[in-house]
Amino acid sequence: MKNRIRVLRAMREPPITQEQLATELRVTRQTIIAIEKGKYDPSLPLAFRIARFFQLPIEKIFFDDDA
Amino acid sequence: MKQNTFYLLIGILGVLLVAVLWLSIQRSMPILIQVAFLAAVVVIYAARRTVHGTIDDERSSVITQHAAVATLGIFWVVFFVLSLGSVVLEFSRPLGIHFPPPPPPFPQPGDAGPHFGNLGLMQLALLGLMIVLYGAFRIYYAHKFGDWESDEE
Repeated sequence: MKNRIRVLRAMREPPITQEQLATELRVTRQTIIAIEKGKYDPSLPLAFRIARFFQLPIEKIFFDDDA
Repeated sequence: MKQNTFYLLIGILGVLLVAVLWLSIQRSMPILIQVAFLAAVVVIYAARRTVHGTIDDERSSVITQHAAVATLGIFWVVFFVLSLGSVVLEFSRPLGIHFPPPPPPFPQPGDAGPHFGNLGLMQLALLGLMIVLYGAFRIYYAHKFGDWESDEE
């Protein structure tokens, strides 16, 4: 599953680091890196936390590989 | 307690357990190592609750789950195969079939039949196999789920 987390982090004012996002979401930075690189698909609760953090619908952040 | 202190504690307990095992064998008192092992496990579980500064997030849980399931998937087959062999030996004995003595370094009792000590050694070997398999699968799934991915930040 692809996602736009890296772009959304960069678009924030001020930009947010992986470490800061990890702290906000109560996960490790390694998890954020793994999600951004598509190595790990987050659970629905974590995906909703990410969506709430960026104030966007989930489908604006995560995309199906085939889409 | 810091995570490194916890790992140090595990190492110290491991060394102590080896010493107690040796003492237990010398004095032929299995209760020594049994009580010591139970006490060590209680200490480790109690100490783990006091470890701080670590985040146990969902990805590490997923890695643990995958590694445990994969380990169990192999372990039960190996366990079943060895158990089947033991059962065949045990049930063949009344038929008067001659068994070869167990190969060294296993103890060679006067009676070449199944021996309780041999069973313990086999169980320890199986537990060792389980630990090795679990460690290997943890490394594999940690790699698969991006544990060693680096980034420019």
